[in-house]
Amino acid sequence: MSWTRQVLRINLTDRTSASEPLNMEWAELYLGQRGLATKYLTEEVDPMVDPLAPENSLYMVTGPLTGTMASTGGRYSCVTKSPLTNALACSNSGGFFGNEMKCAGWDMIIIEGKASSPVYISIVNETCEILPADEIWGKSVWEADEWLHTKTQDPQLRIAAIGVPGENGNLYSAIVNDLHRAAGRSGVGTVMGSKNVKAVTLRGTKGVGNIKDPKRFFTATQKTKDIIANNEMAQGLGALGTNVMMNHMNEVGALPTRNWRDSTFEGAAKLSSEAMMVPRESDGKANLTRPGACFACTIACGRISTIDPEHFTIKNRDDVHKYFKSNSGGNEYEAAWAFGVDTGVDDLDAVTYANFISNEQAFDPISAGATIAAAMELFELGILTKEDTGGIELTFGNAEAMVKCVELIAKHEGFGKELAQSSLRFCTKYGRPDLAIVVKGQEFPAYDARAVQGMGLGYATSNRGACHVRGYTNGSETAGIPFKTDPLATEGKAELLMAFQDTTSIFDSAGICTFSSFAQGVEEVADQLDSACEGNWTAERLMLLGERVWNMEREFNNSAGFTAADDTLPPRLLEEPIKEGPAKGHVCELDKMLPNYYEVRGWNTDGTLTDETRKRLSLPL
Amino acid sequence: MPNITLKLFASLAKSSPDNIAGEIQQIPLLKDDTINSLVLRANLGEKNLHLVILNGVYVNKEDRPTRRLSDGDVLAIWPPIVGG
Repeated sequence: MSWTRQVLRINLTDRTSASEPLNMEWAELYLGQRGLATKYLTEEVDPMVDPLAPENSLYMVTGPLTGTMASTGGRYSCVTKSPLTNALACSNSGGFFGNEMKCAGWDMIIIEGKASSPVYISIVNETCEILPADEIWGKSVWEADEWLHTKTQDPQLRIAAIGVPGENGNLYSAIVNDLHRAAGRSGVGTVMGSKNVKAVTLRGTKGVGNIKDPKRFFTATQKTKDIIANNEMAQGLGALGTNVMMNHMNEVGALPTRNWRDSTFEGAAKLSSEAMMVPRESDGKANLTRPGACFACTIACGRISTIDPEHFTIKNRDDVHKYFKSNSGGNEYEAAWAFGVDTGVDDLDAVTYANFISNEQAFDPISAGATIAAAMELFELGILTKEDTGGIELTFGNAEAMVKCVELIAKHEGFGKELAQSSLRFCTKYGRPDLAIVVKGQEFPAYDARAVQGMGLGYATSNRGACHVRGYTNGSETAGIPFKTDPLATEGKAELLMAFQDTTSIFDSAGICTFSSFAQGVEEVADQLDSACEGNWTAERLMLLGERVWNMEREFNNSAGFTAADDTLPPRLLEEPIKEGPAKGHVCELDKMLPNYYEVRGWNTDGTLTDETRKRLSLPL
Repeated sequence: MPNITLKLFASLAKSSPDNIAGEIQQIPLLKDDTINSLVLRANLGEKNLHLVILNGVYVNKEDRPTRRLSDGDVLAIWPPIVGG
């Protein structure tokens, strides 16, 4: 029973909080974290609710392995209805916040209603207080973090907070914990801001001591740690980080460039993991200071980096936070791509600076970079002018312009307010919604779906809008993990994607990191869960659970008004062939994959579940 | 003289300011050279050459002994890698 079996329910409108037992029937069916909180959401929140209304709830949730000695067991998720997509939002973060929640005695914190004035939520073991946040409202995450640590005089306090964008309705605001780990996607920070909550602080001293069979659990977790330690991919992630993909995706011609006009980037190497390790002329230091690991992680894919002190973004500036002149988290592949490749900027320090700002002020670097990229295309087409941008010469490749946009997004000022509405709304305003590279309103990550067909099917069917960590078929298609498939083939991709989607749902519901799935399999997860938790947790049961979670999410979205028509891609992906490179001439052939996907999922041709599928998965009829 | 461009990445490459786009070597092409014969000549025979990409296209392990190389080919090689 590695669940604490306790849920903290907070009502901001009434300013009350209460403990309640975890619904163990649901835990048996949905495990924890992503699956469990989504079950609560579907039962408690009207799918048609306005995401920014008090009637929407925010679930901060751990899994049964969170806070344990299982490798990567530090994960938690933020689940809510997304203001960016109007679909389900489920954003996962590492750092040390999730394990602290568990150590304070809670599986999940449910935040309901809306406070009448800015507050922060302080949780110390069983004590929950809703306290005034007037002094930190309007401040960055980093300033709020310092203020809260100073006020409590507790260096071990764990803090998850929003920045200025989240307070002001920026639709891709994140919740950042531990200064630079983020529940980054789908605007979960926007929901927190709509409730007038600046931060949640946690302090837990109870530990996680309720493992069912500690001796067996020790053996099971040690086995997984050995597998990870001896796995070349895990070793590579520690050495080079996720940004090792930069040169690779460019080599295979699948690196979306300049708002997806191109699929290779001449400046990719300058933004790569390899470039991050090169000592620079000014101070002899590399961009990369060291790898960073989350709680209990034995991979350490995170990057801790610095900006060149001679770079224009920080040189002779005393108006930037001190961390800009020391270090912060990143660049991960996605942030380096969005602020760099997608905008055509090959300046590593400018990209690092932009990424640091997204940490400081808690917004999604993918959506921010992609929205700037779309604006750049509008500018180059003459649709957007300097009058609109406030004087910014918003051309592709202009590092100063990209940086200026990010600064304005962070402050929620001027042209930044326009960019804060996300690329679909922004491009629609200027009459070109086709230039927003989104699915269900969420911006694409860094894999060109014309060159990696399975990723296109994955973007189109992802329950939270375009996303790479919901079904990373690229692992198979270009990286050969766990086996190599042809990235340009459409046959078999429905089955491949379903396997990735369902497996990822398991990892996201267990409290461990999906990146560990590159080394350990569902059998290993089952062994750890079964030794930690009551019940008979087998790989077979988990695979069914993963499929159940995916289908439950689909049901929520269908009830929120989504249909098969939303399982599509932007016209650029479907109609504009790649111009050069190995995938030259290809578009994403979604029409060849989607019907097969519905079939293997056990769905009707209109994308709804059949009753037979519901019965098979023990979902409500 | 005909040659091919060999690009090595990640743990196969030395970290160097010159290697941000891979550790690049120009290797003279011999008559009847295949991917495997070139790999052996480049002293990579003992390494885990997980991703062998010829002009942007992955080459299966079983095809590498017979896949002929041509003047100007670009051969990029990675060990097992993954990202996100």
